[in-house]
Parts: sequence; C-alpha cells; structure tokens
Amino acid sequence: MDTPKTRWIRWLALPTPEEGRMALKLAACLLLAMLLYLTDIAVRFPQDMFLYGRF
Amino acid sequence: MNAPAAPAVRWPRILGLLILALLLTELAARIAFWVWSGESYRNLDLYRWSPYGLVRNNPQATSNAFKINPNGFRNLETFQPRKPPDTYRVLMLGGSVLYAGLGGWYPPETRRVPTSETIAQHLAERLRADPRWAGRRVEVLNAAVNFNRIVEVSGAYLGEFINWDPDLVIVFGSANNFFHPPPEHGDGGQIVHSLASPHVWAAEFDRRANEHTLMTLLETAHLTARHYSAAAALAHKFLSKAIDAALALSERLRVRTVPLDGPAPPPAQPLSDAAFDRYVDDYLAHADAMIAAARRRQQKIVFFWEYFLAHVAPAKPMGAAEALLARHNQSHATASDREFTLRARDRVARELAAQGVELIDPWPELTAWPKQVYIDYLHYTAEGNEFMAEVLYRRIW
Repeated sequence: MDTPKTRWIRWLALPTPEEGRMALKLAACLLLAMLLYLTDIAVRFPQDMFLYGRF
Repeated sequence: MNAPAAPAVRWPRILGLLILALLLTELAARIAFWVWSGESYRNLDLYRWSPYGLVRNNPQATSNAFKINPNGFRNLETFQPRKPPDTYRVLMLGGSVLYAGLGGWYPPETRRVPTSETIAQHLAERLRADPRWAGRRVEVLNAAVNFNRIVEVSGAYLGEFINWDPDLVIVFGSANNFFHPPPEHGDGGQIVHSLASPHVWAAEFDRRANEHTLMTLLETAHLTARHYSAAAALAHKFLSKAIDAALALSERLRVRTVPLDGPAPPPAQPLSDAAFDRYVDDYLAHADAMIAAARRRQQKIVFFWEYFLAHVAPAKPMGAAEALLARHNQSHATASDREFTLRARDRVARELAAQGVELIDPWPELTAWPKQVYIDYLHYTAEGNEFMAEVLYRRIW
C-alpha cells in the first residue's frame, strides 16, 4: 500500500544515471554561461582590472 | 507487445542533485580558501569604489599576502577618523611603492612584502622609539592604493583624509605620474599620458554606476554571487584567467592586422618643451591644492620621489640579485624616459621649494647603499621598505 512513508522512501532513492547526467549538463550550462558572460566583458572592457582581477 | 515506457525524468531530484553538488563545491572552495589564506573566505575584490579618489583597498579582501585593515589601509591596527587626544598622526598617501606592491619581472621565489613590513610600519617603530614622542601615541597611516596618481591622491586627501587631522602628510606616488613612456602628442595634438587620460578603471566605474541595461543587471547578479559564494569566486577567477590566456594566444597567433578604421594613425610625437612644462603643471596644480589645504588646516606636508630601478641603476652599487632585476627591467631605461623623469623631478623640486615644501629625494642615500632595495622594477623589498623609512625619518625629523 502506498503511504506517505513509502512515498518518501521512493523519493529519497538515489538518482538514476540519466538524472545524474542531466544535473551535470545543467552545471556545465551554468559554467558555460559564466564563461560567455566573462568573455563578453573581457572583449568589451579589456582594461577592467578592478572587478575582474586583471592586475 | 509494447516496449516498457522509459521512466519519467524527475526534475525535483535533478534540481536537488544540482544544489547538493553546489553546496559540496562551496564547502570545498571554502576549505581551499582557508588553506590558502589562513582565514575564511570573505571577498576576492582587492578594491572598493570610493567617492574620493575612485577606489580604496577592500578591507574584506581575502588574500594570502595583503592584509587590509577596516579603514582600507595597509595597516594591521585600526584607526579612528577622529584623532585621539595626545596623538602624533602621520598620514602617508600614494600608490604601489608605498603599498609595497610587486610587478614587472621578478624571480619566481620572490616573497611579497607583508603588511607588517611596509615603510609605514617601520616609520612607526622608529618614531615610537624616539624619546621626543615618549608618552604620546604615534600613528602612521598607510593609505596607499595601487595605481594612484596625484589626481586620486589629492581627491582622497581634500575630500576625506584632511579631516582625519594628521600632523604630517607624506605624499608618495610620483612614479604613477612620471613614468615610461614619456608623454606624447596624440593624433589630435592632445597630450597622451597618465595625468591627461582617464583612470584605467574609469570606464568600469561608469558602467557599474551609470549604465542600466540587461547586461549590467546580469553583472550585478554575477558579482553578488561572487561576493557570497567562494565557489563562484573561484570559478570566476579560473575562467577569467582562461579567457585572458585565450586572448593572449589569439594575439600571438595573429597573422596580420587588417585596419578596420582606415589607415593607422601617425606615430605619436615627443612633447615639446612647452607641452612638457604644461604636463608637469598638471601635476603641480594638484600638489598646490594639497599644500594650500594642508596649510589652511595647519598640517605639515612633504613629497617623496620614487625612482625606477632603471633610473638609479647606473649610479647605485648593486649585488647580483639587484643587478639581475635591473637587467630584466630595462624597458624603463630609454634615454628619453630617464631624461623626462629626472627633468620632471627637478622642476617639481624647484616648484615645491619655492613654496617652502620639501621634496624628499632619496637619490644620495640610494646611490650610496650597496644592499638590495628593489624587489622589482620600482617597488622595494621588506629591507628596502625599512631603508626608505630610515631615509624619511632622518630627513623629516
């Protein structure tokens, strides 16, 4: 019988490899967005040493 | 018979996994910062914006080398803006020489000068040992900020530090106004050099303070994440380094330059004597303002001249280590650089002397001192900081 307890146990089960890969892809997307954003700043403001540590 | 349906992707689980990974990364980053700097992560920014002089040192900066006090000074002790009674207060203003920075070429094993060993700390020790100040509190404030020209130094002094009521103001930072290469006439005849150009961070300040676009909104979000998260700060640092390396690589691999805006402008011309005088006048205008304000508030003021190693190298006795530094940092030593710098020094000394203000010129001591003073092309070793503190002490007191 499906009870709140069994539902929790099912929910806490380890993620599947597919779900793990999806989480990795999302993390990579986050890093890629940061990379693109910083590249944009580096190209448009090459002398930004204050916030971007080029010092 | 139908194939069994693929299990549905559980997005809350994926999100939870992502958050867990971020938390673990954050924990690892904070441990790494603690191991690296000996303190918990606060911030990687070395500077903060300031209404008086553009930027100040960030007291929250996490660093394994530079400690900044809560006032933003290169001091370990904290000071009150209102001078305590019975206190002799010395305010030191300037750029990276006073900050005890490190740049250009230097041997990889070079040790950065810690906050406890800059000129200000040595000077404070010297003054406290002097019976003339026995029973009085002595404070030596090191308010140096890297890249400070006299434009920023005078702004900081007139706008804020004059109200800290120092008994003596020592102005460093000459090298950031008179340096390689000498001023030139630009394409439109304007003077191209430090004092006549915006601060290198002016564009960044303008974007952060005055632009209201989607990109600046993203930038604020990004910087906020970096402020609170050690992992975001580390990711930022590594990605920035990677981008800079990639840009440098693309520059090296470039085959030829195609001018996009027509032919290249003609090469800049060296300054005429009249234009040179005008340039030094720009420096002196700020110095005059500081002197006038100091007199009005009954604060003594002196200036200090910073020599590039290349400019004193022909006259200074040097050991092998300092001679190696001089050889590797010769780019500041062209005849026109040296001529420009020394001529500027002489005119500044004359103009200050005419007002009864001393320019402390360490040339005689430097050229008689065989031990190492320089740590790179301009800045001093810990021993060099102590040596310069002694020069100041003997000349001023």
